[in-house]
Amino acid sequence: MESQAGGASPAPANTGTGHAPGSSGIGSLLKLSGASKQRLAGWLFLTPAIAYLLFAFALPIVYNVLLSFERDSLSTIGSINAPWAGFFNYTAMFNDQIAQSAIVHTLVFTVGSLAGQFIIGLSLALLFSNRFPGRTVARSLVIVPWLVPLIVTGVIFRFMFQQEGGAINQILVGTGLIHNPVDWLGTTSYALLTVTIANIWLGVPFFTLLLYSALQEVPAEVKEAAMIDGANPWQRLRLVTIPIILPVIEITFLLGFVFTVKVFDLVIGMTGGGPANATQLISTWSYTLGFQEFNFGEAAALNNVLLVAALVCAPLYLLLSRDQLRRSSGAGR
Amino acid sequence: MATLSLEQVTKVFANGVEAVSEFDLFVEEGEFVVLVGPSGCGKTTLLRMVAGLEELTSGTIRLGGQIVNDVSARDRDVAMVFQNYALYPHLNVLDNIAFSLRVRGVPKHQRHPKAREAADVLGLTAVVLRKPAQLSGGQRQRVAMGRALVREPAVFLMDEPLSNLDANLRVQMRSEVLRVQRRLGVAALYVTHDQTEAMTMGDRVAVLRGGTLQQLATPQELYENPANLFVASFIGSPPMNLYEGEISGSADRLVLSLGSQKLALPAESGHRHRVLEAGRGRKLVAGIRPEDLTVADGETADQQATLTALVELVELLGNESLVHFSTDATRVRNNTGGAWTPDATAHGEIVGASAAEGVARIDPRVPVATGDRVALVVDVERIHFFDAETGATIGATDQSPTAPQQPS
Repeated sequence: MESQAGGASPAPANTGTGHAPGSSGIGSLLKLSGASKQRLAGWLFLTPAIAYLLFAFALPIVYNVLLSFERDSLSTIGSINAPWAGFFNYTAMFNDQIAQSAIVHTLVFTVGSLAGQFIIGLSLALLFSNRFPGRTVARSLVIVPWLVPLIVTGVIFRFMFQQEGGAINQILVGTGLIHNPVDWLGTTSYALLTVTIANIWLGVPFFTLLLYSALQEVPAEVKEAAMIDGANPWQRLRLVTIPIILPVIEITFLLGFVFTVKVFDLVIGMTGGGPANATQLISTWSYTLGFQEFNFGEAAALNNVLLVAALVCAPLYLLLSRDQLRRSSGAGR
Repeated sequence: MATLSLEQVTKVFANGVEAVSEFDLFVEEGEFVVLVGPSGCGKTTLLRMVAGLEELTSGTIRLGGQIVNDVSARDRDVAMVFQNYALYPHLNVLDNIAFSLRVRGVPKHQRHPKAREAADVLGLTAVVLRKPAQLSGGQRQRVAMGRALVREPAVFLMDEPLSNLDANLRVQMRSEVLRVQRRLGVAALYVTHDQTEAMTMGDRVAVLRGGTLQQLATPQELYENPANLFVASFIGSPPMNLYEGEISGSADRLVLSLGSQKLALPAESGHRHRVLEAGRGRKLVAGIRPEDLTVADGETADQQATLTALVELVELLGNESLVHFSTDATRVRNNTGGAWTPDATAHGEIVGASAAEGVARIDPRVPVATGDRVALVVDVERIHFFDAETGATIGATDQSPTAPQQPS
């Protein structure tokens, strides 16, 4: 607090006058000392960002939390005076079979997506770290999934996975891998797998780009030293490369997790949550609850499951990124 | 343990640059050979080819008699210390040292005692659990050597391992490196651009330039009988003074002219004398080591071969003084057309010393001051002569000095 009139303020005039600057009425309010002026300027600079954060982040979250404790209907949703519901919405949500399965589906979908994205993303990143003809073109093609709107991706995948005439079945039957076309999206046991595959495709560019850039930071000499120490390619990857890029892998997973638990458009485009709610995720089911069944309270309660997940991830992310900063700055020669 | 032999080793990079051409070298078991030369002379490429990190364009590398051209780096059984140490940043000292044992499947309870022993030898006992980022430069250097120590490699390779250390530590680590190599008792190949390191560490030193071997000899031999102008100018600090000269006079009394000054050469009957005599009237290059010059005292001056010079600068070093002087002779230093030209820009010492036109290393008690005009006595028997066209030493006993002598 006792700011020692930082470098910018030529404050020797104040020293020895006896009273602390800024502590005596209007006169000093207008003639702020250098230090308080700086503090005021700092807050002024922060104001737009704070206003934006309050409006875009805090408000919806607070409103959502509020909704989950209210008994809202179409008639009260526009006002803020809905009847208080206590934990009713939460008990309703946890007793809702579909909500339960949506939570399980979201978990399966997320774990499956991240595993697939990591394995394929790392493989591609390793591939692009080698020189081969057409590398630059191939590397740019990786980000194509990002150029397609999610809802379009969903529709394209729906076409590809169609039972009759879908590209996937034609290839699988054509190559003799399966004998009869599979109803990928119409069978409850396959539908979640199918949307997960589509989501893996969507997330691969993110993993590839981050892991690729991390791989570029691994010094060639260290890999050569491992080679000379007798490590085979698999050992070099497992014992040297992956541990060195581990901080990036951790952060990639964390961000990937946040992106995956909230996937919505893709599933709506492919299955709409069906068949028989087999691909119902937290996001799609809370949307259905809220905007088709107008059960706003339970929808908000379900959504807060995601909020909790995000609240766990945010500090973890800060911790990891700070850790990585420390590690990388300390590891310099 | 094994011998290392390189035969006609050539490396041409994809862009057409010939980094190493027809290089021959034989390293005995336990021998410490230094590859030295200015940057870009191909010494690191050579080392990487021995390590298996770079493919040969042609030629043969043998380890213990076995051709290893197509053996991958990991099966070649070499240990290597890299310029930037190349430690595994996520592993502590012990695990860094034990890494080669780990990938060979040696269990922890066996590899850790070995790594600890190596750490003790290198004075790393107190820091074995630290990660590389928490170590000083010298400690990292020691860990890098520890990785070689725990193995029993066929050959020990080092790529400028001391260049990232400060001057004091570098001197100290020289003996440390030698100690490790003696302990391993294997053939060692050490790359450096620092001629002092080469001279102090190598059993033999190979001087490279532009991918070709200039001379392979013991440090003393390199210093006293450089095969050519490049070696003469590269080895020695401060470097040899090199001047354009001309031989004249009668067969029994040859005279060397350096600019307007003349030095009578002693009558000798050797091979060199005959070559010099035959070359009368042709331009050549005369080289005088700084310590072969002394300041004449008044009485004897006219009886000896002296060079009159203007003192430009005196560097008092305590045990000796370096007198930078100028004469009217033409200093040979960067002959752009000549084939022998030392890469002056790549070697700071050559550039630095060429500010004045010559350096003499004299007794610090002889009073000499900037601006003095002095007579410098030349030890004429120790003048080196080089062909001005080819840069080759004139009258060297071995007429093809670049051919390595292979003990076999």
